[in-house]
Amino acid sequence: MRTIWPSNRNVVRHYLPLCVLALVILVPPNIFSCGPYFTEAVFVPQTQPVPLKDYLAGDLGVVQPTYYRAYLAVAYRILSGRAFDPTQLAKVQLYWKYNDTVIKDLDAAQTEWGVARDTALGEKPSPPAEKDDPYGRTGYYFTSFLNCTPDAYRNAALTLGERTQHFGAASATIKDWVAAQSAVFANCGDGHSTPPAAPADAPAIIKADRNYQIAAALFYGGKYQEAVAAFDKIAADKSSPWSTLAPYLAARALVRQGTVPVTDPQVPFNAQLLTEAETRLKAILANKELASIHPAAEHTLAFVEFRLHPEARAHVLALRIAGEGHEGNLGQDLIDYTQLLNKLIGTSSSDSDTVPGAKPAEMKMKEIPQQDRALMQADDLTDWVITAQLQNPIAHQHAVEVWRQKHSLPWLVAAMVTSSAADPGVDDLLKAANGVPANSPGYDSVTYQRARLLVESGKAQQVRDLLAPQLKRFPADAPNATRNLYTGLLFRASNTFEDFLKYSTQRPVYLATGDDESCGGSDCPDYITKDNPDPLAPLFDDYSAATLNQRVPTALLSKAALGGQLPPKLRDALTSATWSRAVLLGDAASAKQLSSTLSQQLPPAAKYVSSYDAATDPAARDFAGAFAILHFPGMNPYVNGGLLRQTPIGQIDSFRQNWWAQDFSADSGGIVYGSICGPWSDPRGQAPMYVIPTHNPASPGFLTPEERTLADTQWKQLKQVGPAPDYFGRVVLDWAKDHPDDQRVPEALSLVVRATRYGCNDKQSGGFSRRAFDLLHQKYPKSEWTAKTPHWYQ
Amino acid sequence: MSRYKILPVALGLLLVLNGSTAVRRDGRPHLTLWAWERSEQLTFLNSGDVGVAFLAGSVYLDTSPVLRPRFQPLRVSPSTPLTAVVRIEITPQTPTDFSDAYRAEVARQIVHLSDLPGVHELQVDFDARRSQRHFYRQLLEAVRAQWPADRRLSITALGSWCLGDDWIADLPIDEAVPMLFRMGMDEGNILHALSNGEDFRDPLCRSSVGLSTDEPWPQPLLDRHVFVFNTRPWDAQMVAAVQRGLQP
Repeated sequence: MRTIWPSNRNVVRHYLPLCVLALVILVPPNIFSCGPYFTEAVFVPQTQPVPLKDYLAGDLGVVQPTYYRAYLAVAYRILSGRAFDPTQLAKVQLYWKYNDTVIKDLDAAQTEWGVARDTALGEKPSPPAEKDDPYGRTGYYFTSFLNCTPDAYRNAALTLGERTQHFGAASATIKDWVAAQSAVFANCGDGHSTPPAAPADAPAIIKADRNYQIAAALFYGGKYQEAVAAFDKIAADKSSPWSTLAPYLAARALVRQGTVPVTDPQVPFNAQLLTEAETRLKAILANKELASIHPAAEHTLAFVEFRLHPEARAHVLALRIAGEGHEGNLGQDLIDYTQLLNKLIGTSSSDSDTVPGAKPAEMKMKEIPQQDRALMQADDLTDWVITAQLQNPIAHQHAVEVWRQKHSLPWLVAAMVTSSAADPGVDDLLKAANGVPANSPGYDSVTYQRARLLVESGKAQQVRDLLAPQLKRFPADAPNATRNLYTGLLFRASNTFEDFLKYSTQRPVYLATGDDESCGGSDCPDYITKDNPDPLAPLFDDYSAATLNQRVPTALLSKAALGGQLPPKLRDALTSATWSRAVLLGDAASAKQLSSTLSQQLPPAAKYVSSYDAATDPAARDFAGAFAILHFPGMNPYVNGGLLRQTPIGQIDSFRQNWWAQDFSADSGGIVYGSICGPWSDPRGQAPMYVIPTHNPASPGFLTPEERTLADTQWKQLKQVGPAPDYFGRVVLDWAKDHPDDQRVPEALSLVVRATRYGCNDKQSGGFSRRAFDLLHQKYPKSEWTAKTPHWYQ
Repeated sequence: MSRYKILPVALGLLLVLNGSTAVRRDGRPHLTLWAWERSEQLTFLNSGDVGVAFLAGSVYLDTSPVLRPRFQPLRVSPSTPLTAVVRIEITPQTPTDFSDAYRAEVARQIVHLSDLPGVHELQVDFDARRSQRHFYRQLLEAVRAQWPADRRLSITALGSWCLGDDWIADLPIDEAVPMLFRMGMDEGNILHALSNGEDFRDPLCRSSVGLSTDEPWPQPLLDRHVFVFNTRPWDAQMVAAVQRGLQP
């Protein structure tokens, strides 16, 4: 039976075993919906660049300070002008492939041993060969460890091959050798066995091999001190072919003894044993006669120093990663460096800073923990990574100071990321950014920050002049985070209605489908349908959706819906949203403008829309409009940012993404995950799952003052509407009271009850449900709708 | 928070409240935490009222079965009821037909991974494809034969297995835990059915439910045995929040 290392592959519902979880920070869902989303359209990845291969090759795009540390470290190096050559690229990529590599290596090594063994015994190798269990149980905390590594199997295979050539396959000597080696590997799992000493008349080399096999058996069997003694004896025997390797293995035995098993997770290693190992390993590295084992000794010394001297080791690794020191194994160095930073200063966070409890505005440099400051002072890379992740005024101040000293590109980026337009000296940064050539790896980072600062300063024309030409670099039909960032700023700087619409949409870079899974394009099978062949089709992002909803008057929204500028699906969404909005606002003129289009887009709605158009007074229109919307749970008076409602407009959504919620207002600043729309409860109790940032978008520059005022007035009116079930209840009950013989009334009352069940409610919704139910049953006992409505809902 | 006026879901178990958590009449805890492959410190659970179902290891169905035991420490108090979970994974080399020897080896490894001190229940976690159901059935029979008769054997189940498909009815298991999170394409149908008050068709699926801390919970099912998955390492605060969420 083969054994493998853990795969780094994500599986639905299951997690990465060893590394920091690469959680995707999602674009917040639209705050107007009341149901939680589990698939998010990601326009600008916050924690890791996409695609990674381009990033590692030097196409950094706009570096986000929220990237995890490994990506920031890579960015620092590339921004410093030390891009990876092909060899270095292959090494650094191992950071992301480490576990897969180990899986294949162990399996391959065991296979090699099996083939070598069968061949040596004169047998035909027969896959799958019986494989030993290379894992030992520690006996503590339900853990196991990899006892026999790929090198063990590989070395055995190689040596056996050499001996077989000399002594002959299936010879007695070889059979005895194989039996001894099998006894060694029996210790890899839970077994314990030691090969007997070699026969007295065995050839010298076989005796030497046997001594080595016995020492190895002691090692794998957990008898580490005995193993050290045995390897030391071999090291002293210069006639042994193992005398060069033996010193290293003696040190390995000490390391193993010092780290396995962990009997107290608070004390993960024995410092005395590791210190002894460190001394031995350094002695090996100082001995030129042992040059052949220097690479192995270096690797193990790195393992030891990671534990014994974490700060110093972090500094050495930082220099190597930055391309300033002796180049080691870049992939392993990046793993060790990021793990050390996690260990020393905590894991990186997408929130503001790594110091819990500190108030960023009041923070002083001296308030940054001493540990962090010591690391920042040790080397430029670590200083830059920590500063980038702090993202607070202290970080900004420090970044500017360092930039003024060094005038390096990484520090220019760091300084600009945390700058605001009102900062003194920002003009110096802008001037420096203007001097960054287009072929620089930092070009997009500084260009984006320049444009952001110009937007803050209200210099819209300069933003357009700067960014519009940049969009030509990115194909419009290919998702790209940099393009999305530029588009977002151009949207804010747009000065015509046409440009406003043009820049209101972005293509998601990928869809985040849960945990840290994501898909992009053709590997999103759940989201590819006949009606939706392109899962990464352009969408409104949250800001543009909020702007459309809050800052644009209905008449202009109609114009946008009827025009041809928006993609068809967004046009359709805007049509039904604007029609609903017009109904709620009592704006019959705007609603009628959209009647024909809505009816064509949604044929089942046509008769209801006609009824609305035919109504002759406000009350009749209100009822006709409510009656129409009641039939289509996907109708609501706003557009969503991100993915559109996946459930067809005429169907109830299982997560209550039906009509609109009480939490209509952008001013609320937050939404409690699912709490409005039970019975799906928020598993975290009262605390919100996350707080959605309040979107208070600026008014578009092309609006006239009258249009701005009108948009604000309409928005205030919409905020008074309340949750959909209550609105429907009010309108329908009022109409029913005055028009009891209207044949639509029984159905409307039934639909109100349905809305209170499946819509987003508040404390008053139960009252409307009860009243509608009672009226239906009392006044219309024989109606089919009464039979269809056996309950009301609290 | 709104809730349904009428909840036509069959409730087969009585609930005995004991402070903020519950031990059911069948002696099993109301709440069990799934502890996956990460360092977990759960010694703060010291009353025996909350169980832990931990990933003991995985078996990859490659050209031959490939074992991966647990590497990360799990610290629990002696009173914590323990369930060993073994995850079955497929690979690009997963056979289309499984020999008797292959199946026997997988079964042996499942039992080997789970045979740990304090473990009273084994839970197999395998999202078997339709074409693999026969293999899975025979595998569970082999596991049941090797697993002590006085210890429970359960499986995790896709929601569709419990609602419409019903192929699990005669499996040699004590229960199937329907996983009501990360449901993929089944999500709409399953949630719609549950929202309409339907219950799982198979009785094996009606005693427990599997949830996640980052997805909504179906209130009508929370009085069953609840297994909860956390996207981060567990801490006392999160466990307390989960326990509050289970209160009626």
